[in-house]
Amino acid sequence: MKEGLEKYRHVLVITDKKHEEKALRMQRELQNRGKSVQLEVMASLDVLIGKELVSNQPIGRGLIIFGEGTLGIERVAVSAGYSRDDIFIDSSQESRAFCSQCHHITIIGSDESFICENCLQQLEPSEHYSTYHRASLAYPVFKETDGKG
Amino acid sequence: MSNSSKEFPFPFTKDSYAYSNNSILLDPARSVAVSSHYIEEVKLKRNLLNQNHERCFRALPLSLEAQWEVLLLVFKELSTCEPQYFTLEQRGNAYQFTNHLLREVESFSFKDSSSIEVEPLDLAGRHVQEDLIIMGDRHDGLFLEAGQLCFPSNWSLTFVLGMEFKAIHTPVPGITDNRFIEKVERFITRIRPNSAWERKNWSVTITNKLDTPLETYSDWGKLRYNVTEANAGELVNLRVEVQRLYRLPVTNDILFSIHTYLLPLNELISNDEWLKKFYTNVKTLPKEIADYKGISLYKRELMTFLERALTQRKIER
Repeated sequence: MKEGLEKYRHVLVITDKKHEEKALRMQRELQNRGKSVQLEVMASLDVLIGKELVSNQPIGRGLIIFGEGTLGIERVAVSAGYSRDDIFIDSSQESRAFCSQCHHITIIGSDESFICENCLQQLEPSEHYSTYHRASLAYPVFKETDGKG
Repeated sequence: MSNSSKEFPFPFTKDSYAYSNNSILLDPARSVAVSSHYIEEVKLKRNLLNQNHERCFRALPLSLEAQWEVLLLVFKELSTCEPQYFTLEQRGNAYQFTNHLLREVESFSFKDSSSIEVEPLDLAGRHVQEDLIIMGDRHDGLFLEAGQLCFPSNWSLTFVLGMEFKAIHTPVPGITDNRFIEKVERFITRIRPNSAWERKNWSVTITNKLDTPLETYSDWGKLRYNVTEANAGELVNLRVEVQRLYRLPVTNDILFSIHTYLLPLNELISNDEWLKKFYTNVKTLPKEIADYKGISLYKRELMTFLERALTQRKIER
């Protein structure tokens, strides 16, 4: 079980179709530990439906989000009164890098330099992480010859 | 001495570098100041806002109440402290702010968003030289919830929007040593309503551009490679941010204002005391701070330039 979930008696699990299997396993695991679990499956994570779901929850529930594009659901949950500590995101996602030049977020598989898929700038991810964007800030990489001449 | 030198808030008081929270309580409490560069800098801000609005202005919806509070605070302060340049008239909920320097009038109804064309913080910022940031004071910390930022020193408003105070400062070397950043945050959360504190923060910048956002780093960042002993006096500028923290009495949020000043080294070295203090501070700068401030790339050239100036003026090192 994910660390931190022990304290909740009731948990809301939101998932997209692609991650349903994983969410079902989580539901079973939680139920085996005596938790009450409400599982909601969407074709893909939808902020409007998510907003309605999280807005109708009693105070004190945990929230687990599986899928692609969890940030939108997380934001509406925070707006609805969830503390960030009550929200658990599926950790199997690849990391997100925030381009400091054009603000585009590129999904990357490692900490090595990469090309921003929007502005094509060569970037290097840093350790500066935003929980709001759920992404690390990435800086341009200069070559030795840059700025000369 | 030029106007720039006369107004320049020289930041060094000691002969060696020390990172500290060197804040002073302002009496009377002020959030903004008007310098001799007012008209050119406000025009520059407005151009930047018109051309890059998403880069220069960001606000979360929950900041609206504090934004209105800032608008009224800034306009009241300007009209009270600089009545020769600004006036504010009130009739019930309707206000008329006159900027005599720019020959402009802003009329609005307080907290009526339909009465203004931009968000309240954006409007306030278009009449001051400062960048204006609102930090929401929440039960679990301070969060950056709105900002008008035209003259940043290598940071991105969009990236830090919504971030918590401690997380914003992650890249500053040694910031977590001895729980320093937590002490600073605690200090801010204890600022009393209608009180303002001021500190000076310095860095070194290449070219005389006030606007050095992270978003254009690939353009201006590489200029650091161009510094030589011969051109350092012209190219290198000491950049000082006069940063003020003002506790908003109604929303209890914090207004963080940043007034940025630049001084080319050629002007700085004409003041013997400034030359010596700047030299000794750069000389004793720890490597990680020099890296963070972007000085490491040209520190050798900069030191040679300053040493030559010290020798010419017969000042002991």
